[in-house]
Amino acid sequence: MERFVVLSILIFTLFILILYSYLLFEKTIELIKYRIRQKNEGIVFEFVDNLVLNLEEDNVTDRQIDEVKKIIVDKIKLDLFEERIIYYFNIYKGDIIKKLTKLMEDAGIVDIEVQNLKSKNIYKVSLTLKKLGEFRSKKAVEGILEALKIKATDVKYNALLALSKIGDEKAFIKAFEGLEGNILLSERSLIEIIDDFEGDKHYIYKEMFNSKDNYLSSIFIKSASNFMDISLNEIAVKFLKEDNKEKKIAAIKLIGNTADVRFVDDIIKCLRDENWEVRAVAAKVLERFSDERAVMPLVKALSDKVWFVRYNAAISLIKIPGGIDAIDDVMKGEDRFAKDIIIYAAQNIKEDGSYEGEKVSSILEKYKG
Amino acid sequence: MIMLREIILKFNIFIIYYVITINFVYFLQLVLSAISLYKYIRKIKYSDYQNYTTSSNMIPISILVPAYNEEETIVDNVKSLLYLNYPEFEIIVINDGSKDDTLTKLINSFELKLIEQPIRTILKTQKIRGVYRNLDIPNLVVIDKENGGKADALNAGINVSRYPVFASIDADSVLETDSLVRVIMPFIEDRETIAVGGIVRIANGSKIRRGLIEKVDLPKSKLALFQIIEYLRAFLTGRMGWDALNSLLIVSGAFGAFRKDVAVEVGGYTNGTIGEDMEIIVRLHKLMRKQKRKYKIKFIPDPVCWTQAPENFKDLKSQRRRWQIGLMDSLFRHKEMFLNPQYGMIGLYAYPYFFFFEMLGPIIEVIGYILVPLSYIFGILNVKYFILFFAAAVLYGILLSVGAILLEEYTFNRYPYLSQVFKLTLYAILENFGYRQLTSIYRFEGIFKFSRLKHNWGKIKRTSFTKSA
Repeated sequence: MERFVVLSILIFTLFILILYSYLLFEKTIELIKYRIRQKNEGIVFEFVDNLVLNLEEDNVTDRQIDEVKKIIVDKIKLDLFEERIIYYFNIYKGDIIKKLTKLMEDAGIVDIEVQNLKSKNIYKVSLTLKKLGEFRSKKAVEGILEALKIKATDVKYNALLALSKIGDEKAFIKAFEGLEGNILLSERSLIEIIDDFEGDKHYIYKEMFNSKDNYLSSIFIKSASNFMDISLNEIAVKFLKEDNKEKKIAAIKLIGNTADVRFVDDIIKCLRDENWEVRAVAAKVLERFSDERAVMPLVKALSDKVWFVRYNAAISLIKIPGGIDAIDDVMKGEDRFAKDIIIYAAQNIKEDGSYEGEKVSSILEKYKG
Repeated sequence: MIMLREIILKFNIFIIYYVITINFVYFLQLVLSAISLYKYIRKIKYSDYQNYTTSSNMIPISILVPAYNEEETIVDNVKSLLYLNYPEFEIIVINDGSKDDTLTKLINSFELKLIEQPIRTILKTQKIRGVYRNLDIPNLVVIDKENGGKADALNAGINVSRYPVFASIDADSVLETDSLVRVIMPFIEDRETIAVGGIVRIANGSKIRRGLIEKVDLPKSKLALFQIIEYLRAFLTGRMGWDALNSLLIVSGAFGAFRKDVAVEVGGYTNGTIGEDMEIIVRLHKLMRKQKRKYKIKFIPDPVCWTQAPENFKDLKSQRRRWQIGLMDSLFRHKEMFLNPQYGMIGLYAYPYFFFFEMLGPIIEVIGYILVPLSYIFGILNVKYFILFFAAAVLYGILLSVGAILLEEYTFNRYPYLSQVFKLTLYAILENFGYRQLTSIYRFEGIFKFSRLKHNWGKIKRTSFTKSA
């Protein structure tokens, strides 16, 4: 036992020493890199700044490309070059982005990064994907689609995000359809990626709304509700009759966000849906239509068995024309749940401060305790 | 007599083996943590979390702040929460029938008004006396309720909350401005995530202004310094190691986020326990594993939450007793998980570990500290074993603490000066000569006061962050 204790203490000590040496090694390397960076940062950044300034007026010249090629031979200079150029990718929009992308392609930086995608280190691959997304080069699409096969959430996320920035419609759709429902990313992160798509969004929505995969279809419909393209409503309205709850909710939000009165009756019908979440969302979006046709169905929804439906109906009623008059009748009635929810909603609206303040105050004064 | 001598001798040897085993497990955790932290640091380079701070697709979150006699820190705390950098969140402070001026201070500081709000009773709680809001601070809600304990207060908060994820934080904690984004990212990145715990750091000695950490520094109090080492060891090696095995049994009550639907499914927090933070996690594991559902309970090592550590022995004793009682309570409530393969790693590894090493540890340690020297004095144990026991107990402890400090320096480097590293290392050595034994005694005491104190809020005296800085 004595030997065991001594041995284990020695092993522990050795591990701590290794950890300590590794720490020192990393810190030293970091310090050296930092010093080299500092030495080169000014030169490389200035070069990039002048290059970009020039690109605002002219196209990239062969001489400039040769100069870039000379700089990026050094790994640290390449990193600095990429860092600065990504800064410009983030602040510029329009034609200059295309020029920057061409520069990255012609100087061979895209090829270097595509090669890096073959690394077995998933952290390196993820970082590379992030950079390739910033460069927006279609030359990288094939490599990115290949990287999507790697079974690591970080890699998949960055690959999808890169394709979203590159904006190649077909590649983007192919990438999503290839996910086969086994992706661990949350719905919100996927919607974020779709929202960021820089190509023809209308095209990808039209294609993906009809995806055989209900999950994918619903997230594209949800993303489309942030896009506010009224022509998509004509496709989405058919999903209001579908059995799939997610698609139905997404379609209600999409139509509701654009307040497309052509479909107000279809949304009103959803207040009678068997699923409470569908009823709640329908009650909520009806506020945006400001259509008197919704008043009586919303009054009915004040007696819904689910609190959220009642609350959303009350908020919408207060905000749409003719709603407040209908509320007065409800308050004179016997439904305690309906009356309670109106008082609570009225208080919240009052806090909001933007809707018919006087009328809301009068409801509160008249009926509150 | 010979038989008694033989029994004592055998027990002494058992204690030495116990010390070796427990430290071996800690060592494995340290290795696992080092690997996980290495990956985490690499991941930060391409992390997209900053983009989400303004995204409309971010999950809105309800922050629940249960408060019982927190008049000293509650206002600072709420102010710091209002500064958080996050697209959509609400703060729900639940005054659990405080006997001091907690509610009055909140009402006066934030100019709150009593409103009529119907409350959905998803989880049963003590009666809610009133809901307070301010027209100009729409994301702040204060609930005043009858006393029912911390778990009851949290359940009331869940009932009032509007968002799909809630975070529970202690009223004496301060969050970093981007802590919500960081704690929510595991939910965004992986839809199987049901709960996330954040690292809790000790704020004593650091400069806090308007509820925000301005400068991280080491405290003057020796007791608080020892606790910094302890927290680094517990979070950076312990919880990070458990996270690597998807077997995290505790998400600290000081800062943890949960998917509301799943928390409600397990019945919310359990009333009548002071270890409600561990208790809910154990039940989440139990439910998910029983139903064979895929899930993850994650730990994020970023320093996101700062809390006050007790600076006097009385409060330290009360805190450690409470932790011990909470641990025992949770373990006893779910004893069917013990070595039960149905619960996978939880039943076969995490539960037995907590049972043998965390729960029984103080008993064996205290007995060891008494029995081994006595055995040596009375000639039952020879000098070799006597030295072996202390070498094992002390050297292992030092090595593990130094390991945790190194991990901190490698990763987040919140104590960047060499003087700070040396001071921490010194205290990592010193804690093995008195402090560790003292906390073991406090926990040992907790075991005996289990049935009497298990329903207590177990408060410790707080000072205002402004005063303590």
